[in-house]
Amino acid sequence: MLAGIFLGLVSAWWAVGNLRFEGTRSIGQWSVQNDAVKANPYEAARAVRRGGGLGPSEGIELITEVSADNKPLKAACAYLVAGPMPQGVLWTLTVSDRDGHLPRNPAGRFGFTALDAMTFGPARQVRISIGRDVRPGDFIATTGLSSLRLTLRLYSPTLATRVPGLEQLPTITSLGCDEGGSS
Amino acid sequence: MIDTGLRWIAAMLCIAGLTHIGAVLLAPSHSRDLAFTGVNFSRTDGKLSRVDGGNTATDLDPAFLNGVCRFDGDTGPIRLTGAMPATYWSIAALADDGRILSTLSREDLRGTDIDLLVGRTAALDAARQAAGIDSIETMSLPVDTGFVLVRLFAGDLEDRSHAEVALDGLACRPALSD
Repeated sequence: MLAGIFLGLVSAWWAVGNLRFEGTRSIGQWSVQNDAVKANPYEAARAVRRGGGLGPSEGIELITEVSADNKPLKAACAYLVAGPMPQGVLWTLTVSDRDGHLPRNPAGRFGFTALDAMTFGPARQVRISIGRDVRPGDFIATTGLSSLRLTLRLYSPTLATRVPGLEQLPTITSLGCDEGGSS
Repeated sequence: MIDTGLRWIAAMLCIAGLTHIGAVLLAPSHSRDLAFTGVNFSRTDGKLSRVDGGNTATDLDPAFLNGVCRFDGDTGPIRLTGAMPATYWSIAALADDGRILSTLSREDLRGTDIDLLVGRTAALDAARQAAGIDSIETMSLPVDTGFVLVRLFAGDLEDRSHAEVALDGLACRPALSD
């Protein structure tokens, strides 16, 4: 009986923390966190700790823990976030671990926003590197993280009802795992 | 022998399944680690409590300054007043279990000065009449207790200083104390 209870608690803990188990809507590698998914009891349990994300008048929150080739993001690896961002909205991109802890870096750089990210070309595409070793251009150090999650928040009331398409979002590709960490 | 072993395994899996379902369903109402549990509201003196990754488990955007204000059966509806910065900001009312109940953004309120009454629908009308407030923005909620979370964009140093001034200047008091 104790083994059954233990197994039940462990599986519940695992299921609540597992991103792909929440019934969220996916756009490529991004998962949309919106209010509708709170009907899912796993997402409701997770929202108790996370605080509910963004409301309909605020915008939407997209999360990914996988790269474009559907492999789990690893804190020991380097990645490139490249491509377009939805135009005309305030966006922020945040790097954290799966529990929401931010990286420790002297610059206090946890991500980029629509106002401080460099953009390229007429489509204003971003190119943001993530990893443990410094890279040229926009870069976020992942020092101190044991896992990796990217959160893209789009602040616009209209986006809550009109979620951006895959062609409006950047992709995350691996730059390698030879930075002194495991692969 | 095999039958007995299989029965034990089946029983264990049944208990595990029931425990799993119960744990997931009861987590929102029985968790001790709620979104703003670690925030000290006792010394706010009508101001909002600053929240970030250091004093809450909530996933908040680090590009924003965030402040929360508690409301419950004792306070009744609360009145949020102050001047907001020209950058993006939003206000969300959350239930104790972290669910977002209602939100307003800069686009909804149109203007920098806010005067907002937040509380249960029936109590809002009573508070408005008691305080003699006729025209005021309201956020009607289905609960008596929860939090008001104010998010102010603070993407660079200039935005941050404006957001800090605005957050420090916001007042959050029981509506019936006015």
